[in-house]
Order: sequence, then structure tokens, then C-alpha cells
Amino acid sequence: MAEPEVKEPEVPAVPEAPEVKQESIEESEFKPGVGVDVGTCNIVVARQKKDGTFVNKFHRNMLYPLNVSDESEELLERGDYLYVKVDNKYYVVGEDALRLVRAIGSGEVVRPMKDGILNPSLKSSSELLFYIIKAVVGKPMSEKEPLRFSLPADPIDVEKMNNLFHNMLLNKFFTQMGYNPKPVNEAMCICYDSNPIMKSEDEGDVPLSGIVCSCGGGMWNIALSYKGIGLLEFSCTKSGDYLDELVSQMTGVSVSKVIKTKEKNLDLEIVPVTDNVLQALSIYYDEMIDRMVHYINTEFQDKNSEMDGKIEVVVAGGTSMANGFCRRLAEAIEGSEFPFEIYGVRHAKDPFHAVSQGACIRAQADYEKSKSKKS
Amino acid sequence: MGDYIAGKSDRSGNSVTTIEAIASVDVNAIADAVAKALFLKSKAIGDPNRNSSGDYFDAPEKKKEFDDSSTMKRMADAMIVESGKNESNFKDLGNVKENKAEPDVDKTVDLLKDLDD
Repeated sequence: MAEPEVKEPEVPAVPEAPEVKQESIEESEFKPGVGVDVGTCNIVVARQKKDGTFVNKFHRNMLYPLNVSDESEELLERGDYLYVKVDNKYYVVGEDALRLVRAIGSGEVVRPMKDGILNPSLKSSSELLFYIIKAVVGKPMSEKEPLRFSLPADPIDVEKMNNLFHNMLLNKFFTQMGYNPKPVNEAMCICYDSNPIMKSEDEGDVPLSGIVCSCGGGMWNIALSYKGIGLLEFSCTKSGDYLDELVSQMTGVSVSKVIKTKEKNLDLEIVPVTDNVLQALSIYYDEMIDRMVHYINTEFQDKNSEMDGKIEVVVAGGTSMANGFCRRLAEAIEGSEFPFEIYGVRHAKDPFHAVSQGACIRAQADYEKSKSKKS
Repeated sequence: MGDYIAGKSDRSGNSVTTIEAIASVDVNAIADAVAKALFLKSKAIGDPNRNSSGDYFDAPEKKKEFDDSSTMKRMADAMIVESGKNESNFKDLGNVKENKAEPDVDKTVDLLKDLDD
């Protein structure tokens, strides 16, 4: 009996992921991989040129709503303010929102994000935020270009608040834009950008190992890294915005003016006794730093055995940019029962862009990984 | 410390020592502390029908925390609404700042490409 002919079953073709167009990558002046820091105060996007230069685009994450009317239209035109119109409202965006509040002399800016996540009290916050992000991030240079967006760790001071929803929302949005997005811990971005070194007797200089702190507007984030792996991460919502609000309450000065004073005049090395706002800022900065050190001590106390050497602390983020911040942090660490041996506290080279650049480095590594898998 | 009076004798003439404690003692606080201590003990080891968490052995096992990730995903999908009705007077946004990269960036990329999330 002749054996029946065995016919190989037809394997249905697996739909392939869209190809990355090599031509567009080769033609571009940038390396593939984008880093996005979606912060409460700012959106920063980083790409790296092939010659090594990082190009950061920065936009202040602020809005000022105005009802649609002939007067407001005239005001916007006269002042050359940038705006988005949604339904029956104009939203003046970014630096212009702050400029307008100062020009009018009343009202407050609103934020599409609050405490590190989307602001639930602003009705159109997601639509506005995405409109703005699109305009800052731009299109991918190729389909499914790797993109890393910064994500805060779950806060230790707020119950029932986690970043899962925020993560899913941004993931979905960047996917729709044509990117291949992944989150990356905000503090770890500083590690990738600034490369803290652990000095070990056995291993010598160990890269990407130390404590990294990102002090943003809505949150500060802290991570303990060993060779680029985040051992433990946490965040706290009592950061820059919290300081501004407290100082405003205590001094009776509007939040916008407090922000202006903080950004232009605050020097933590020299605080004039005659200036109430600067005095109050200085006092609340001390409290914030003490709180950071307190939580590092409690959260990391059982991790000291994993760091076999002296480590450094690297700090970044807009709230850390006041002169004297690192000195005050170093003093607070020295006066506490810190669980690690510290040999230095330093700022990232560019504290304002360290998170976006670190995210960009992580995205480049994703691209390299996918390239080596294909080959 | 309370004051004490010593060296008195009773009706039969036997010498006795009387110690009279005159001190302000917060009886309620002591009672509270004792009650607390007893309660903790009985919850942990006192009742043979209970486990170390204080739950009865035959009680239905507590369910794991409810997984709401699919709801979150659906919410995220629902939130991304682009009405297309938005108008703006800009095409792109953002001020540009360039930074020279640190010399060890390429080494970092090499190290990270071998790490999983």
C-alpha cells in the first residue's frame, strides 16, 4: 500500500512588524532612539546626533485658560501668545501662560499634570497634554522607533496612587504616534546620563552604581542603582510645587510670583533675612531635603550589604537647581544615620536635561538590542 | 516613689511594718497596657483555632488583591480622544538646548543593551 502523500500544513503568514526604514535612519543626523521626560512642570525631549551632541527640546507644561471672546482673541494676537483652542476655551501654552499671568497680574496657571500624573481636575487635560506632546516630540524618524518616557516610582506618601494608569496612557499615545514606547524609571534616567561610580576595594570603579535623585515639580524620585540595575525606587509628592504652595500660603504671595522668585533669585548659600519669600523657600527646602534623607535612611537601610564600596549621590531636576542644594543635601546626609558610605554629592552636568538624556540613552540601547537580535 | 511609715504594732502587740504608698499612679494607663499585652498574646498564640495572623483556620482564604489592570487599559484607551476640532497657532513647540555628550555614553549604551527591564 502506497504511503499517503504527506502534505505540509500551510502555516499562516505571521504579520510582520513594520520594517524600520534603514534609509531614513542612515540619512538622519540623529541616532535612533528618543527620550521623553513628561514631568509635571516641563516636557523635555532628547535626541542624540551622530556626532554625539544631545539636542533637547524643552516646553513648560503649563496652561492659562481664557474664555473665547473678541477681547481674548485680541489679547492673544497682540501679545503673540501661543495657544490651543478646545471647545469654547483658549489655552495659552507653556512659557506664554506664565507670561500672560504676570501681564494680567491675576489668576494662576493650570497644569495638565498634577503630582507627576495627569491632572484629573482639568477636564481636557489628556487631550491638551497629547496635543502639546505631539508638537514637542515630533514624528518618529522610522516606524516603531524606540522611545523611552520617564515614569515616576509609586509615591510613599500617598496611598492608593500608582503610576499604572499614567504609564498605560502614555504608552498608548506614543504607540499611536508610531513609536515603540517603553517606560523608564525617572531616577534611573539620571543614572544612565550621569554615571555614578561606586569605589570598591575588590572591583575598583563600578559604573552606574550609586544613589540618584530626580527633584521635579510634582515629585522627587530616588533610586539605588547597581551596575545599571535599579535595586529599589520610590518617590514622594512633596517637591517643588508643594514648596511653592506652602510658601504662597505662608507669605500671601501668589504661586506664580513665588515660582518667579525661586527661579530667578533663590540662592541657598545666601538667603537675605529681609525677603520673606526667599526665607520661606529656604526653610521649606531644608524640610524637603531632610524628608528625602529620612526616607532614604528608612527605605534603603537593608540594602547597604548590596553596595560593597563607597558610593556617590547624583542629583538632577529643576527643583534641585538652586545654588547650594547639593551642599545642604550633603550636610543632611552627614548628620543622619545614612546606610551607605558616601564619598560625594554632585549635580548632573545638566540637571535640567539629565532625565530626558538618560531616557534617550536607554532608547538607543533598545535600538541596539533589536538590531543585534535581527543580525 | 511613695512615702512609707514603719515601726507600728498591731492589737496583739506584734510588731508590724506598714508601708503606706502615697503616690499618684495612673491606674487606667496600667490597665490599658495590660489589656493590650493580653490581647496581642491571645491573638497570636492564645486561640488554637486561629493562625498567626489571627484568622480562623477554617475561614475562607483571603482573596488576592483584585487585578484592575484591564480596567486601567480600557480607561487609557477611552481617554485618548482626539476630537480633531482643536486649533492652535503653532506647529511645533519647545526651546532647543544642545549638550556635548559625556565620553562614556557609548559604554553605557553597550552595558544597557544587555539588560532587561
